[in-house]
Amino acid sequence: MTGPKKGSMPRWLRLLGPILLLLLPREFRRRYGDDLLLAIDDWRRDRRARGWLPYPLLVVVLLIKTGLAERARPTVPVSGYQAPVITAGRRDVVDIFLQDLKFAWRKLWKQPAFSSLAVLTLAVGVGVNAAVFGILDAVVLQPLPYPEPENLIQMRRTEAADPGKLKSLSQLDVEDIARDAESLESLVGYQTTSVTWIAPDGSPEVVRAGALTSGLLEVFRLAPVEGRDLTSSDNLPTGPRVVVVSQRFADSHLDAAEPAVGSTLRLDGEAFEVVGVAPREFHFPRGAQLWTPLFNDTEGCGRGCRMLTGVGRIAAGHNPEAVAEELGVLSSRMEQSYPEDNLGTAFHARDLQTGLLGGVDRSLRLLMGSVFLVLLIAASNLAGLQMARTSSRRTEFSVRSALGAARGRICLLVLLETLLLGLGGGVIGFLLGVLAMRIVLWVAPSGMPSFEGVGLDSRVFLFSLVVALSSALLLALWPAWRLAARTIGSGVRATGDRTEIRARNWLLVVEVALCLGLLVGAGLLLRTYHGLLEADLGFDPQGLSSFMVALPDKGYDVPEKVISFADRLEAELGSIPGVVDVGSALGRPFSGNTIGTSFRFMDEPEPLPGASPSSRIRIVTHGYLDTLRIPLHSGRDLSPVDRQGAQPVLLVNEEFVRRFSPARDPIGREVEIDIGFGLEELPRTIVGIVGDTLTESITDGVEPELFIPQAQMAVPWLSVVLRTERESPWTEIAAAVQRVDPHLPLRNKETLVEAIDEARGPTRFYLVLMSGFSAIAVFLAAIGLYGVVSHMVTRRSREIAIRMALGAASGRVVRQVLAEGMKTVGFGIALGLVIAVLGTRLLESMLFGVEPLDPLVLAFGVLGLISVSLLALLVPAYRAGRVSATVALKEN
Amino acid sequence: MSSPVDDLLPLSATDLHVLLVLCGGALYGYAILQGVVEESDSRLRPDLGALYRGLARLTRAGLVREVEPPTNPPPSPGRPRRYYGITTLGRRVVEQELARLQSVLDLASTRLSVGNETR
Repeated sequence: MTGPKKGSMPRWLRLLGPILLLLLPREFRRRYGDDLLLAIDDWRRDRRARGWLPYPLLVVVLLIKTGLAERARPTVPVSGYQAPVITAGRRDVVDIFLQDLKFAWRKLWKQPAFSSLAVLTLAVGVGVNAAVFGILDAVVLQPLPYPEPENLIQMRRTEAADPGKLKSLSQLDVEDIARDAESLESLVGYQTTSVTWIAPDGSPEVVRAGALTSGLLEVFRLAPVEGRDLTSSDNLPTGPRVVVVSQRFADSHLDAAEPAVGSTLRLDGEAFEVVGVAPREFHFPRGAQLWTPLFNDTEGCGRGCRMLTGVGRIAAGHNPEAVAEELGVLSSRMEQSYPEDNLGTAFHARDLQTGLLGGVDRSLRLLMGSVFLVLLIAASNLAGLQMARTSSRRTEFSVRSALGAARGRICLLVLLETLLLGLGGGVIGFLLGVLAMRIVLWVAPSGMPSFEGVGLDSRVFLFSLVVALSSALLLALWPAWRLAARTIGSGVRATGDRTEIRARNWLLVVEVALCLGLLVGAGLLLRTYHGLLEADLGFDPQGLSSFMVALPDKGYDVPEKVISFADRLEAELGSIPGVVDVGSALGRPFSGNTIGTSFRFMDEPEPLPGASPSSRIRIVTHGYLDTLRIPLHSGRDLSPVDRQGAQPVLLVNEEFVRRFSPARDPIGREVEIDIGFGLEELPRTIVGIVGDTLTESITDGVEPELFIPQAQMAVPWLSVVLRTERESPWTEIAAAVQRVDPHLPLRNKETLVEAIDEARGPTRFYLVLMSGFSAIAVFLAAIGLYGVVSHMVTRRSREIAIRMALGAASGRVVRQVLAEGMKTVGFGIALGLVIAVLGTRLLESMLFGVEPLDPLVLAFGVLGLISVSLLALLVPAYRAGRVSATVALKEN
Repeated sequence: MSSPVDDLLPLSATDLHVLLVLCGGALYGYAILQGVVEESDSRLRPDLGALYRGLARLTRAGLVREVEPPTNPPPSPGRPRRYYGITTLGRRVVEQELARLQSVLDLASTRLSVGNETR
């Protein structure tokens, strides 16, 4: 590295150096400062010549160290010859520091009530921050654990009709882009699946897997532990069945005596050869342990068959903008080449981490914001406590200052006390954070992504300490300085008392305002959750159990076998005592897998390519609608006569009618659907209209749905739904499935109540946390209010006593104290409403069925705060009414 | 008052090496540091802060003083460095220290060889 400025000092040293030199004591700095900087520059150049990087940090550390050492053991002024005394006096800064530290500790120890209240207040504020920071850090802030994670992207696409929603890609899309995009080093399409692994003893186990267009390891810059990664040439529908397993899977599932590579696994009834082993930590996507090629027949399942997400890596020398630009070009080129499937389709890449988080980061940042408010409240309390305390120590400090203590020295003492409090608050706060994070993770719904690996580490500990110390120090500076400034003048009662009360009142106003903000946030989430609980699902989930089976190609190669399997299975299940109804569907509600299809009415002109209407489609057995208690509004239900060979029929829901056939009675109209899967389809006649149901999420509203009899469109995936009169009889159910096919495992066993509950999970999670935080906030503010008013009563006991001696009724005194306290609260509420108006907009995306400025929520927040405040004020007010004139006057 | 030289002994290892380096001629800050590291076989690696504090101390004790730079200093970028040289008192202190060390060495070698024989 030979820059043109080789000769002179680099800029950072020129700028930073003189500032850092200020750390050195003045005499030393004057005498040696310049020369020291030159020497540092010499040293820097020497190190660089030897190939070491001279980190500026080293220089900073060096100068801080020197400054501290020189201050601790100064070498006295250097001018003129004096008797050589090499060691300076023992009474140096370090001793002073230690002495004051000891003194501060003793002071705090002797006032356990104050100290513990202060430490705990701070600890609570720090604790919730540590917990949320820990989660935010692990989930959002830490980069993905792969080399150059910033170059990893996730790819999806949008359609012109629905530009806000990111959708899946087809294999042909991925292959084309992977081939043509120069800004991408690699691109793989993947699908999260699960496969049934048959152990050598014949027992089936469902294993999470990824189905890929080619090897993922290359994208993530990982090397296989053994063997090789998948390649795109493995992905032939007719090719040999190959699989890559994770080291974890190999260790726990495979025979350790044999090499993993080359061994054979039975997956979904077929033999797969293991060709590679992936590193133990690799489990993308979502806990996958096996990776197979897609083996999709792109002939049958064409460009319109979209089930993949893309993951790729930006090529060296390119950036995300270049990728976006190139994808724009490729999108329009593909629109022209394949108008039928790609018209209106645009491909988008975004940062992989952002893609995987799917908006959780935003909610977590909001949570971080709300716990920061809790910290502010805690810190304000601490400031109030400190002020009250320093003012009551005025006499002590006056004496010290009269005896010759410098203002700086008194400040140092206060600072050290605060530092100790901060340290205590930080450490206890971290411990509280451990607890809080346990609770947070415990209430976290299973649907939240990537909460595994969240834990409290050194970063969180450091965070706690820094937060605690910095808030303590910031808060201590002002009172310390004021106090020192004041004590020097007089030892008599201070004039600054009123300023201080005013300052404490302002702190309270802020506390109350922040509280109201948090309360309103929690209230809005509560109403959202209530809305989710009350939402009309369109079916009755009580008593419904569900599981899924996936029939392997082997043994179920023709539709008849699939249909007869479903018949036999439902008959076996129906004979279980307690089972009232049985039905099956491809994609039951809240299963996370429904498919969409485009369709057209036969009595309407063929729509333009890309403009076909689309609907969700459920392929159901005839018992399905009854089992779910979905009402039939007109026409007829499906029945056993709707079999292969009979007239092809379907049912539609009301939303479908509203959207696509509002003017005409849809019954009797013919519809042609294009579902993909290579299934050939005849036009179907609409024979009935059923009620709407919520499909995947409570908040998204109803969507148009088509119901097709399974006996007329045999697909090998069935979500079986049973209505039972008692607890889900899983053992009997498993036995019934075994009787029909001994090698089929039950997947995704759950009750519908659970499934729906899971959909409410994230809201409940944020609701519980926000409620917890606002409860803490209200509690802290109440303590603060209590403290300030108590202090005020004590301070004014003399005045109160005189007034009562002159005949004021105690009730009046009580009222007056209450009124003064409530005045502060009132200001706080007013400010809080402003905060709520500004702040609740941020919450908007998390709300459902309630406006950000819901009057009910605002009213409850305000009322709640007022009642808590009154409670907090009662004790000091009551005390004010009981002030004894003689005692008060004597004390003063 | 005892002799000023006796008050200064024993010298710390770094101080002694600094003085020894300067016995070879006046030098500037970083060169002194390099000399100390080199001549102590890298056993002593004071940082620059410690070196300058040492120089300040030694200057105050009158063992080192700032001197005029040599007429043709080695090329160094930026402003000219300051040069530090050893004083007469400094030389005397070094000599005394070396004599002291020599007597320690003598004592030690006698003791150790005796110890070896008895073992």
